[in-house]
Amino acid sequence: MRGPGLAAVAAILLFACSESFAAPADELRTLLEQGRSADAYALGRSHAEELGKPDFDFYYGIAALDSGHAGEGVLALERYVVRFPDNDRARLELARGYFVLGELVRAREEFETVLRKDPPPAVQATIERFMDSIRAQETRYSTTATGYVEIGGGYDSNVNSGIGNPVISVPTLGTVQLTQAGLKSGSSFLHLGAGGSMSHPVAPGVALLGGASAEFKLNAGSFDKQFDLGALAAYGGVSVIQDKDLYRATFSLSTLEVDYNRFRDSASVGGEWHRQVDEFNTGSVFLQYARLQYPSSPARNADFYGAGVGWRRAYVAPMQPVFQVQALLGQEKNDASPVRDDLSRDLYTLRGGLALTPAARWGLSAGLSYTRSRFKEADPLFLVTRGDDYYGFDAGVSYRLSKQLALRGDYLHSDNRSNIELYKYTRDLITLRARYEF
Amino acid sequence: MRSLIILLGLLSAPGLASAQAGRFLLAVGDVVVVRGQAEIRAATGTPVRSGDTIRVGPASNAQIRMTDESIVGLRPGTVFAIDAYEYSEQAEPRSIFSLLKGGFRTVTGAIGRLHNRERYAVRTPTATIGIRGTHYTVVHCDNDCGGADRGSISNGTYGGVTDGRIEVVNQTGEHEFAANTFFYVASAGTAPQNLIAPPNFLYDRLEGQARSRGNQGNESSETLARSGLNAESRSSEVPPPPQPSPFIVTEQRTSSGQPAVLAAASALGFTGAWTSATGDATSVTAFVSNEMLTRTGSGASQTLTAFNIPGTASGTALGPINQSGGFDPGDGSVNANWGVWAVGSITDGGTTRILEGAHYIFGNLTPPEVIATRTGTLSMISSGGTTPTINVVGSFVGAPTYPTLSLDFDMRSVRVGAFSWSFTVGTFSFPAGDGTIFVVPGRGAGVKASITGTFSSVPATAAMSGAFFGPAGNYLGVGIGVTSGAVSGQGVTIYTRAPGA
Repeated sequence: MRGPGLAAVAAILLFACSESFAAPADELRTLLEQGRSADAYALGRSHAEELGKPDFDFYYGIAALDSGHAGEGVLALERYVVRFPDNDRARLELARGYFVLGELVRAREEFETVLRKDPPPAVQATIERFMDSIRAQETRYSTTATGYVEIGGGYDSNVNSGIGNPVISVPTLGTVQLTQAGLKSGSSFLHLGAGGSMSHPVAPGVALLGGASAEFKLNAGSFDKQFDLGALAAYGGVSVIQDKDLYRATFSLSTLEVDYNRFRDSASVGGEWHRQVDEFNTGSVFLQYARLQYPSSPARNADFYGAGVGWRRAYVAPMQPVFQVQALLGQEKNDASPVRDDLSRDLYTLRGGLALTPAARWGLSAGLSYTRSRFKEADPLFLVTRGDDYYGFDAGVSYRLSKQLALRGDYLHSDNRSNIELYKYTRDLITLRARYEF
Repeated sequence: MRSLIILLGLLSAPGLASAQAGRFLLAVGDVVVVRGQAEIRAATGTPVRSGDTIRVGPASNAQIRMTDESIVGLRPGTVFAIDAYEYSEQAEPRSIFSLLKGGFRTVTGAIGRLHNRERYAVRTPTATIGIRGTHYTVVHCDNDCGGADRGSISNGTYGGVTDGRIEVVNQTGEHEFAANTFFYVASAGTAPQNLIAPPNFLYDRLEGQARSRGNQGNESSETLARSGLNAESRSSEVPPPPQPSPFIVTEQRTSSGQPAVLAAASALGFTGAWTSATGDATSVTAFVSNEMLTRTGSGASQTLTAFNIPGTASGTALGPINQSGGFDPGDGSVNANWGVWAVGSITDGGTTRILEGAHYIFGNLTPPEVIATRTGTLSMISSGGTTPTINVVGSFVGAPTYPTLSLDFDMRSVRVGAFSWSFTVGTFSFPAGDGTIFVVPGRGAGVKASITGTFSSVPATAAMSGAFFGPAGNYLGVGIGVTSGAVSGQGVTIYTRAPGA
């Protein structure tokens, strides 16, 4: 029994020694409160002898989670929770760790354990957001189906993206008037939407996808009803998850109706590749081909080719910011008969967006986008090659009333600048909507 | 401190036979280190050595941190052996474990990062696991994984890779599994199977916490809401693919490929004379497409019921249409028509107004290039039209009279002859005055003039405008509005060549 005896003595000595260095846990806490999780993690690594002490494990676990070392973080928080199972804060952090690691069953169990203890509403709302995301990710493992209905309304300052000036100068025609339909027209509108999606795993990491949606924008103004929009879409595809990579291939059909007449039909195939670089960074690449047909305006029929990259970065900081950028190169190639290359164009799009969570149940988002369109040939009417620069600003606020019901307000400002007066327009769109998910 | 731990570890070793391989970070419940014949009850800080076997009882949990900084979390009901462990400068590093029962989660350390199966391996009853990564979980079931809430679970080894890759080797060969994959090995002679989802018993539920109920620790729950990496940051939520442009009306094309919103080539000249929303009588001339005028009838027998001229005015008749008339030289080249809306709603200048006595005249437009290239002079007289009306109680006295016009195409000018309109409430009188001929390329041509006169000795103005009709520009549809204070009147007429002109 010499060994165990000495071990016990050693443990006592160790405990005594470590007690005299209680400062590291306090330092970790201070750094975490300052939002310096990476520094806290580095400090924790330099005090390996403190591992196993509850206070140290607690803060070290959070620091590891927040700085992208979720595996270490989960092990540290597990140590704490085993010792202090009634500490809801630690359990919530542990649940978050499981979530980050993708251990969804355990994440759900721990979140539910906290929920059963009736935490404050703000905490419940935070947990519900995680649970929503868990449900979304569980499509990898089990057959899932979700749906939504939406109702809302708003005001659109330019329902038809028309221009403000009723008379324009056309080199080949002189001064030309526009029909009333071509002029900027504002109207309030009713928004209706519904949709659903499903996922069915068929092999490890492989799932079949499908979904459909219908959305309508119905203008209030009697004149503007001719610009009522309806969008119907359906898609199917397959997703493959390998390691940190998600591949997705989809085929989709959609039609855009204007005044209940088919305006544009599209059939597209797309491929996406997303890599989860770490807990905070995701990169993506996508390719798309679409066949665009305009039943009432066949001169615009075209093939669309697109390729792009995106990056998404989440920060562990107040309001949990998530930043996203996207760049797209595209080409719309007219194939009407005869071909109208003045309607063919190259597109370059840049978009940046920021999402914030200022408080439980609340979400904020804002984004800027720019699209440069350069057409291929001179417009036969205007005798110049069309060039457009589109600038967009969007902002949104959402509030989740319950697990299923959310309210959302969105604002979009569009400004399309063109070297041809006919295509210049500005537009302000405000939408308020309620969404019920099931 | 580290050297102290090592020193104490060495001191506790039986016969100093082997160095400390690691220490317990957690030992809750029934956790025992079996070292030779000895069984040591483990606690936090208890060292472990190469050759030790760790036994974790029911409702118990343990974690060991090895000296290469790897951490192994042992679940309840586990028997885990450190078969051979070496991590020092004196020998080649190696880390060979055996999972005899139960399961563990591990985040590997320096030895694991060597990616060498000779250096790192975990033996299970069904396979040996090597690693190319850093984080995985393994459970071996031997009639101990099922239960009331889990149903019957097949015996064998189950695993899941959280990060990196692992190699599973048994009699069937070597099989590699990447992050986010799960596998099952039934026996040493059975190839591993991929699993779609992690078995629900794979991850430890920390049953050791049952021994610590009532412990809340020092950390407050007040900041619970702080928790939460943004749920939207997961990779499964991907940005939407590019979408085609939304509906833009000006990009609409006709079947001929032209912008659909361009008004059709002007086909008609339109002149209206009414008391505008601002109070003065006005004469409005526009070059319009057929669809801008809503009409009944045909040829020189048409009646206008509504019009919509973007940027100029729009209106709808709300009552009888009086004084309808028409003119054509007989070949359909002019088809001038006029009339008076007894009551109508007209929007001009952004304001809608219900008014009485709105006069109109329209006819086939003269191509603007005809007027632009025309030279010489032309004398014209009124050859029909409406009887002027007034906006106060009163009526026109006598036959309608419109001034003569003398056009000079070289000078693009028009001389308006003197004229007077007599109503029962007074007489508008205007001396001769001058106006202009105007041409809008691509659209049409017309005349306009503004003349100052009197209304029963009170100053008055006359606003006149009109459009050329007919292929040669020998006809004019003209409207005149006269105003004096709150009194206004208006009328329209068709002009033709003066006899002998």
